[in-house]
Amino acid sequence: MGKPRVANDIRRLRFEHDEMTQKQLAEIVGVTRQTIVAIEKANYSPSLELAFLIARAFKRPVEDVFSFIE
Amino acid sequence: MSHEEKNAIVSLIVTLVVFGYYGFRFSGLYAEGYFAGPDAMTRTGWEILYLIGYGIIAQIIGQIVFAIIFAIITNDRKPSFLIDERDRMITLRGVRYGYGFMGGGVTLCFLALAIGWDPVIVFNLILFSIAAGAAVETLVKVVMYRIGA
Repeated sequence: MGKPRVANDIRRLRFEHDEMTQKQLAEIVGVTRQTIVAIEKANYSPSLELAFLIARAFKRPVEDVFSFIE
Repeated sequence: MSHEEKNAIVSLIVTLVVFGYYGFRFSGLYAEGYFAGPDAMTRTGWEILYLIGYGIIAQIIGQIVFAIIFAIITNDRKPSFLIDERDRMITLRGVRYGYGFMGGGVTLCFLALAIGWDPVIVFNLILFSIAAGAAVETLVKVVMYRIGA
């Protein structure tokens, strides 16, 4: 399995939302903080369900949070 | 460090210690001729049952002790036991490598049996192949957690 081809803007969105911490975001979407870290670093691609939960946490559409690397 | 990563590290250490002790004990008993004669496989069976027993106890004690020590060191009053999708993905990856390693080991054991090795030794090598597969599984998990996959 190569490096995931999904980029994201989670770090910037966290800071825009009252400087939300990784732990707070993890608790909101129901995963561990380490998973949020891996997603932010684009080392792990979240499932569709998790991607939607993260986007909903920021009140943004999924396309605003995640993008596909060609 | 997530709950699953901690479990993987403890499991790897305990597996290596338990099977290291069993290998040391088995080699000593084998050299003394304990596994010679008509009771060889019966004695082998009992030794393996003892191994399973103290292996399970060692894993439980190891997990509890490590959890307590880690909670004290990190001063974490509310440790999380959450297992999420990434934990399950890493576990599946570890299982794949572990099963492959175990399968290869068991196949080599059957080859050893076919060329005339002592069945008692082959039986224990099969057991060590299974243990090595489990160790590879947890090692892959630890590596994947460490590199942040």
